Amino acid sequence: MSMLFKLGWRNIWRNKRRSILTILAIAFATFLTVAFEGMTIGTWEYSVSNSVELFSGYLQIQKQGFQENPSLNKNFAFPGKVADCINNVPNIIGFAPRIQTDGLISFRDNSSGTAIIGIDPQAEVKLSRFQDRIRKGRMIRQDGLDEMVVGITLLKNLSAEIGDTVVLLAQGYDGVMGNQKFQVVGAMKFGTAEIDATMILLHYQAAQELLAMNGLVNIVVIGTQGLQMVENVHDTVQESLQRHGLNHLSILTWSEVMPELKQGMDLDKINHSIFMAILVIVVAFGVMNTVLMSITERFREFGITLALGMQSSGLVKLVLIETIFISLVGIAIGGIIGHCVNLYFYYHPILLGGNVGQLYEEYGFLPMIIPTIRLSVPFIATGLIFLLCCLASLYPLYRVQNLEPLKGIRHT
Amino acid sequence: MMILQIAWRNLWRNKRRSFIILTSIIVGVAATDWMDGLARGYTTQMLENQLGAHTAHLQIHAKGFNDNKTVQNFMRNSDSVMMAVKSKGQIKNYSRRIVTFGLLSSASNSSGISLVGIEPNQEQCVTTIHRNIVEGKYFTNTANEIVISRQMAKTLDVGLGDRLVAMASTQDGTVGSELFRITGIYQSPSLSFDKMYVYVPLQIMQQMLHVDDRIAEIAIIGKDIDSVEVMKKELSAKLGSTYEVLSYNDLLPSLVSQIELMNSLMYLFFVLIGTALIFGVINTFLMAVYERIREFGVLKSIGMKDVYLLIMIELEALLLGLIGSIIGTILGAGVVLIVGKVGLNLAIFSKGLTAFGSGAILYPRFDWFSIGIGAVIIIMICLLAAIYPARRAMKLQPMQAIMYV
Amino acid sequence: MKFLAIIFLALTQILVAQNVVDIVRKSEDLLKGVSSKGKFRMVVETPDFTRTMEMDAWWIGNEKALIAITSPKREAGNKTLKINNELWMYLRNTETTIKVPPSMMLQSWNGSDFTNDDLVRESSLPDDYTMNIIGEEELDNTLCWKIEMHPKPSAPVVWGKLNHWIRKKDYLPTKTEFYNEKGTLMRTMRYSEIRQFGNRIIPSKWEMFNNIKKQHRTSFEYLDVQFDITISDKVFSFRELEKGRSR
Repeated sequence: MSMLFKLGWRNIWRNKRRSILTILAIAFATFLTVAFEGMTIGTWEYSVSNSVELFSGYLQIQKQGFQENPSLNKNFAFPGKVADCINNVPNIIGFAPRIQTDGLISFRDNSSGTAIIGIDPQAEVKLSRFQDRIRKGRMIRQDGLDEMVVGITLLKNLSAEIGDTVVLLAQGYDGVMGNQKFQVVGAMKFGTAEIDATMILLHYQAAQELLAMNGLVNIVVIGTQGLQMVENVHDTVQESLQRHGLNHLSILTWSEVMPELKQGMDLDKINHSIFMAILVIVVAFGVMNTVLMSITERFREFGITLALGMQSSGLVKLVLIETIFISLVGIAIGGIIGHCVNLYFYYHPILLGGNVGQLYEEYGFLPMIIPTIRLSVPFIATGLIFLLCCLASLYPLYRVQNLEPLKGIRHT
Repeated sequence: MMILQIAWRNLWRNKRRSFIILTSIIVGVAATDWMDGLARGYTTQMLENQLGAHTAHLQIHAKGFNDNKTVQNFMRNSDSVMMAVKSKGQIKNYSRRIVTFGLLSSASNSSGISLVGIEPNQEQCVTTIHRNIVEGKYFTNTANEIVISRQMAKTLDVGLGDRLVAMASTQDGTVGSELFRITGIYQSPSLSFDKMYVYVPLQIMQQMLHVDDRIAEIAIIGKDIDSVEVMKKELSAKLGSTYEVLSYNDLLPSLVSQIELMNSLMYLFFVLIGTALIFGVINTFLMAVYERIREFGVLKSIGMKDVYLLIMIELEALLLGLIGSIIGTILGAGVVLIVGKVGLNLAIFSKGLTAFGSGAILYPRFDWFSIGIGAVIIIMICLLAAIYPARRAMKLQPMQAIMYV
Repeated sequence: MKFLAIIFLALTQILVAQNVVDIVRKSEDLLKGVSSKGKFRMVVETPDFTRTMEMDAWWIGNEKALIAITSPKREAGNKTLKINNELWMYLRNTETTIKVPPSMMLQSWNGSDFTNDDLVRESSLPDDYTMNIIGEEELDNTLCWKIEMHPKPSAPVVWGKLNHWIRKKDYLPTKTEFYNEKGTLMRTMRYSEIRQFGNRIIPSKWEMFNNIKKQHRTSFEYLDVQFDITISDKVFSFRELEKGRSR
């Protein structure tokens, strides 16, 4: 057996040209697969992260039924037991309370319906991008209980300016019409018309006061380090909630909070998969052809080997060993180069479109292509190509097995 | 043209080799065609899903309406605008609308909505909601019909034929209300759209809001989506500063940036796959030539001139390229055309997408130009790919070649 | 002789044949005056809370109304002003007057089962409904007409049918049932505790029950009311609205 290995290895280097060509084909196929997969997964995740971080956060704790029918009645105590549940869960980078409801904002003769979001400014910094969306003025301060940030279109519609005092009206938890004055300290832009014309941010404690919800909130946002952690954290927190007896609360992932985003992303993912499949078909043919050719090219040599007395089975094993060696070298080279390319672009992503600053301002995030550098990508890709090589050699090996020495020698 | 005959016969002398090369080419061409069709279909789908729901290519309003959709901001004199619109050649279809915030209530519940007053016959040519009707009909031009989404019907606990009261702020500051009966229920790919948009006849809404014959917006579909920005500039110049002309780029900036991202990614894919292809073809040609070194040596030793050797190899490459390209194009374009008609329902890959409705069906799009270019480029690649091996063949010393193993 | 008989017959007809619209109008008129002024208590019960509010109110027919909340302290000083179809709210806390936009019209008024729109709506039942007496029933130990009402073809109301009971002896309403078009009972309004205020006798307690959300209930009680007094127009003005105290 070890003789076969030695023989195989030497055979490979006897004909450098052929071996190198075959290795190149395999390496190239692997490189492409690694780069492709890396780029598509990475860019997809980046896209999702951006959308998720913009507003909803990766996970949310809500009272059951809140998602279908949001209302102030569906609230729960905070910090309370909920904070205990979350505090020691690994992979969480922070959490923050929110209060969401509708209200009416009035300034002089103008009034407008609004979507009120009470937040904890400091805690939100790690979890969402509200801070980045400020275009005028500033975000509310940690002690700013009478401060408000409005959507930039809302500011315009009210004919108000930064520094003006407005009145906010909202029906509280107990049905009482809460009303309070706030000072507009900033205006934010999300890029979506409806949001910019209706959203306002308050300190959540101010919202609690306004809505007679002391000690209560209706959402707790949880942030994780990235998309991969979400499922894990979800399960841990869910279990923790149950353990603490908080059965009326549920934890939702971003895909449950924003099913439409999930839909769009799913569509994207499938699209990528289809493209990936096409790529694999193309490289598969490339690899198959190369392997087939490299083996049939040597039928004369094989014929002689058989004529010299080598067993058919031995020859098949030999060729198989050679193919495996070549494949391994090929995928190793291709995989490493592919991963290096991914690493490079990870640190120097490809920015799309013109003026970078303008893009950020307009769309809320930089559209760019950025690969993922998770090792699973090159490993899976190399595994896939290796499998392809083995499959590609099946037919040629079959031919080798049935080769008659004389036919082989006369092969052209 | 004996050399052509020789080249042709060479191909079929070694069927295996030619077949292998052909498959590379065929797969390459077909794959490029599929990718192109899919990519076009996908971005078109994404755009159509959104634009076709409500936005259209362009919208004209009185200035300031888009930021503040109140009755006071409706167009004052829509006739002059209509004249400008009708005179524009590139406009394929247009429709007039009123859009305002309102309240819809049933006996069980009520909900805030975007109430849209439309002229159904015109509107059908501009938006696609009429295709998304799942129960009942779009509009039959009888009085007081209303079309709501399935989601809305669920929230309000109503069904076809049930009564609903819509309320909205009127021109004079009072609250206007009207009774409607549900004539149709729609379901679009977008849940957030469904939660808000409700349709009624334009005239009824004008009466309800006491606005006589004023309208809020004119939605336009141009003949060609790529000339939308040009149309926008022309209309803007013609209508002056009391009106705002907004393209879908202005109205849906986040969608546009998403599509740009998609397109760039597609471009990257093309580059990668194209590279794979080229490499595959070159590699195969190289191997094929090396396989035949002995044969070339013999040819040279019986007197074939170098240049003829080159021509012969190139001709073989050309023939293979042609055959492969033609078959590949038929295969590629054929699949694109068939799936383009039937549609590929992506929901079969993911359960979550079934709720997406018609938005999840992908129609690859056929483009003569791309398909043609693809075919031609492959042929050129074949020609180029054969050059290096051919030159190697030319440089051979006949004796060395014959003894080559 | 014949002549007298004919006149007698005619008179009898006129006396006996009051149609159902007349009955309902009479009933409504009993509850409204040309003007009225009074003190009310409103109790709102939901599964989440029970609230009691007391308020002063002034009315001129269906056109103008001013409601000023006097208790609890948190809301005292908040006022609602109605002029025809428009509604304004004055909030003492922030000293602002806000015009109620359509988005708020269907929101409940101060957490009750009544919406802002209910307050504003001018409707009189005969305007929006066609009606028929379908029988007589005894409710609260009094014989009542049972009247079935169906909305007129283009009346902007959400109900499919109303059942309305009016007492035969004094034309006061006793009960109203609100049905949706499928025939499900959605709301019930009960009028009870008949008392005398000045020279009028009316039910002093009006309760609205939500038949779907069973634990929801709103009730209004007249604590004191005067009818057909002179109320100065100045009462229904913004200046009055924004004055910090209620008279």
